[in-house]
Amino acid sequence: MIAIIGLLVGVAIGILWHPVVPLWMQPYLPIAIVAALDAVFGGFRALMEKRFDDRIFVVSFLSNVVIAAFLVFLGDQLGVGAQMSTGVVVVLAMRIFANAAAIRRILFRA
Amino acid sequence: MSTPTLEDGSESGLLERFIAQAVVDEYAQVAPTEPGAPGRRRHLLAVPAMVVIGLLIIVAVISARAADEQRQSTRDALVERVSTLTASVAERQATVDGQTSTVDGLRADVLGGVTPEQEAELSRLAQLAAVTELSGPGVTVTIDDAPGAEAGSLNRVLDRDLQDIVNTLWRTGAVGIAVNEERLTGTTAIRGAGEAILVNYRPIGRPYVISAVGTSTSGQTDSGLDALLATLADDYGLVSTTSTGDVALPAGVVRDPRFAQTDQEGAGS
Repeated sequence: MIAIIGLLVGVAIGILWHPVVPLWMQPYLPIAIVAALDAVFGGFRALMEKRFDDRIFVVSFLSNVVIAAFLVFLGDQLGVGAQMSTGVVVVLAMRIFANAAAIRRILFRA
Repeated sequence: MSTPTLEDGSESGLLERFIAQAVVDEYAQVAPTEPGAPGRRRHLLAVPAMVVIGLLIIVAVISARAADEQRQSTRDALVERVSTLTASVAERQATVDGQTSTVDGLRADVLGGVTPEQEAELSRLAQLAAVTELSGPGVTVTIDDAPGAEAGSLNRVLDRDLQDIVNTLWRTGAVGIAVNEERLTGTTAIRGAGEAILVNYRPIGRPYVISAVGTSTSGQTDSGLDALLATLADDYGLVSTTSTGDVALPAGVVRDPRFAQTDQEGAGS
């Protein structure tokens, strides 16, 4: 519950502050969001399983974002940025689906 | 999480192993809390992280939308410029037409002493050079791509087809031809540029309307033209219609020769 309030606070700050994203950052933003979503789903699943830990959540969130952005950056430097983005998104999306399936099993027992 | 055994090495087995490795649980080391134990302390750090995530998402949405708006406004500005310039071209064309008729009038004044034969010769030559409008009995051919023709296929009208039709019309005695209101002159080229066909270096669109004045076939069917159109229809499915009657052609734009000079200029240089 408190986490959802945090999410809404972040959204509100973004709308009010209206930050401008530097151009060099723009390719990494969608990747960072998918990585963050992966951490969120993993955290939610752990919450459902009563073994959530905020330290692991924060570390997994930061490392996911940093590694995903680094992979895409590396891909850009090697000239395979688009393929690298695709690979990162595929793996993260797979994890998101797996976690969502676990959450679904717990919530609906189905 | 256990790794599934992989005996057959099949693709599905490989994929399963890949998925199993990709979705390793990050919280595997954490033991489930007892139902009675105080678990709130474990949630504190998550809140700022969630704030950051919310911020991240909204920033991405806003910047994507801003990029969209940017693109849209660029496009609008370009469309605006195109329409302004098109209007300016039309305006200048009107000016040119007016001044051309002024020049014609002045020339008629200066050449007051010419004989009717010379005047007739002048207008005949002007007609042949396509610098004046021309109307009279003639033929109109409308030709279009085969229904459902795909880009790049041979079932579309090519520059080559228009050339063939135009040459057939010249051969049967046409004195003036226009393709989609572009009058053909001695320096006109009909050629393809990618997907488009250029006449007088201007792109023309479907359907292609070829008007010709003065073909010897006015009022009767012409075997050469009909045979050509039938071949195009049989081989490539091009749809064409032919009609005879009065045809009006616009004046052509004659460009100055690039190397040729008149006698006086040649003597002066």
